[in-house]
Amino acid sequence: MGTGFSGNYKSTSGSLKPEHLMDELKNSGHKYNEKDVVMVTKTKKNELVWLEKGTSTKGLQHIIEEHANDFKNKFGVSEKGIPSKIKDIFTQGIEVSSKEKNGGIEKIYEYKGEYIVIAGVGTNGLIVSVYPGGSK
Amino acid sequence: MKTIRIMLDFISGPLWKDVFDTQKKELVTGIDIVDNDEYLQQLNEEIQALYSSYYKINYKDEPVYFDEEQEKADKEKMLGLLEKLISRLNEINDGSFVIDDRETERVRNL
Repeated sequence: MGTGFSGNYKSTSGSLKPEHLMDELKNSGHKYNEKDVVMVTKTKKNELVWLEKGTSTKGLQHIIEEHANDFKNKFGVSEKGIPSKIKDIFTQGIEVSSKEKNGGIEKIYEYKGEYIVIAGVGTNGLIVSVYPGGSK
Repeated sequence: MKTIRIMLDFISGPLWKDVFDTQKKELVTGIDIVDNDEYLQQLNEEIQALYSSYYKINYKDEPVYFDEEQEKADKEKMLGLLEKLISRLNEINDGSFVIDDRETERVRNL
């Protein structure tokens, strides 16, 4: 996975919302709230996934309200660091399971050789929830 | 003493499964007496399917829409299912776990 520089885009290494991926999201045909996107990335399987600010039941707000303590306890990550951590999990983690169930996709990652992280993703790629599990 | 968390999330819960069984290649609670109880697992699937049905993809101008009205409409149904779940957990509890129920009160207050 490169930085996305093709001569038409600015170098986006480290960015949570690289311009070329925001364009890909725009052209994907999926509904999305542009002003609410906090992170967009691609998994190792080249799947486009994104995180929005959300509400109590989905997205970043939901993850903070329900799982911020889990992120803090497992990874030492504050609320502000959660989007970046989620990006790292999706891009650097090893996907050990991905299955469609009950209208969504349950993705399970082995992260940093030690942790299990579970994500509930919409079939369109929107990240609804992410939480660290027990250790491997 | 282990804790079994009862919590609902998108395609997760109510039995909170955050341990990855590398042999079964699936999530489990890590509490054998819970993971091996067929009735509990059936209830778990039924409740999870009901709660997950409130999430709709590409609906009403949202990438994922949560149907709060439907959740309220199903309140008594969900409470009934949760009661069965908790009751079964209490039946099989051999003293090896405690229940951390984060849902019954929340649903009751819908």
